Amino acid sequence: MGSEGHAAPEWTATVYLAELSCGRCAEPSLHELRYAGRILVASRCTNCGATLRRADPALWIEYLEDLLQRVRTKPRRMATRALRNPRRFFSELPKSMLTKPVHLAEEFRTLLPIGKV
Amino acid sequence: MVLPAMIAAGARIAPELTRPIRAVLRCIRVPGHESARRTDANLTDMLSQKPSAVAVVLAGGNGSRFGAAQNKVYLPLAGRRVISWSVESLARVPNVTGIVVAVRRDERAFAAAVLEREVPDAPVLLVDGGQSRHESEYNAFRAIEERGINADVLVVHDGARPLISPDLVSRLIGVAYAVGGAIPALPAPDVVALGEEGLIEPVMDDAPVARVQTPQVFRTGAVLTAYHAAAREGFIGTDTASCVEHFTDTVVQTIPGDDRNIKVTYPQDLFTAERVLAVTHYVMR
Ligand SMILES: [Zn+2]
Repeated sequence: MGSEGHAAPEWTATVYLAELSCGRCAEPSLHELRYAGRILVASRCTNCGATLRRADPALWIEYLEDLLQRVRTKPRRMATRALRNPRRFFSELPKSMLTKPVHLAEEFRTLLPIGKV
Repeated sequence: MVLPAMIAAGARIAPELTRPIRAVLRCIRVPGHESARRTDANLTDMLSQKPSAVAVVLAGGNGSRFGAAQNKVYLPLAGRRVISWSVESLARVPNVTGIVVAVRRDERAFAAAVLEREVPDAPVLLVDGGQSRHESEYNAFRAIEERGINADVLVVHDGARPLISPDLVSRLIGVAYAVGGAIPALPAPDVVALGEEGLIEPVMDDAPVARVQTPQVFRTGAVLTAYHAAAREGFIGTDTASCVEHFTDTVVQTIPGDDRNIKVTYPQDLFTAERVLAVTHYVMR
């Protein structure tokens, strides 16, 4: 058995929308989920506004560990993708390098509770 | 088995909540203490056998009323998508020789890309899901049958349960191979029956009830017999066990489930799952 080959999903979004059950609405509703890197930071029900947000001190430590791991493994992951599909990799490289600082800034903004869910 | 609608009072309470979350649960009778003991005594023998298994992962969901919503099985969770954790856990079970993933047709390319990237070594076959859980299951079973894929048992799992342990899957396979079917269940002492207009009613006969989880595992012949019969009669089951029980006399044994084996339903489930998966200790791809 084998899966079909398609474009790899991009890890650029820091906000996802998903239908989840809301404890306050007591029914499924659209939820906004905010991530910093690979860490879920907050969720908000778009129907009633019920919010869950991580505020524990471990959040920043986990985020920095996650960031360091991403930086450390970046060369290996880039090499893997380049070998898997060189044409696609090199065509997307300039855009990826230009948008990386923007994504990083967005992650920091997500971690800061000011004006966010 | 006709089952009442149930409410789990206080089973899942968000920190900010002042009233309980209502959740409809499928409830079953918990086996008596004696039969459970008998099962435990035979478990070693059952597990010493090596039945082959093919897993079916349901990733279609029921669609969403909200056009912008992401299918929750593809939400990020500790560095992967939810479904990738489910698939990887199943792939780690020695008995499992293949994993058939039933996906929405319009998500097929995305599902393929996710799984190829995040669980590249898993033996995955993608099939189109259907309009219902039952139809997705049937499509997967037919794909297995039509391709001549041999398996002693079929393991049916919900893609939105990312914390399934390979050990629990192995135990279910052993029991299903020995008796016909096996499903994991947890006691639900906080479950009450919900009557008309939301009034609470006594649970039937005060019998113990349980929350049923997945994976649900059955001998392949029983599943195929049941689902072909269901297709002929237009029967749509609520889960695999309900269909197998309806059309065959297969013995379906419950074994203790795992309270970490949560189904991503509420947002707090994602926070919980992330904590369990220890965010900094996974392999990055
Ligand atoms: Zn709400």
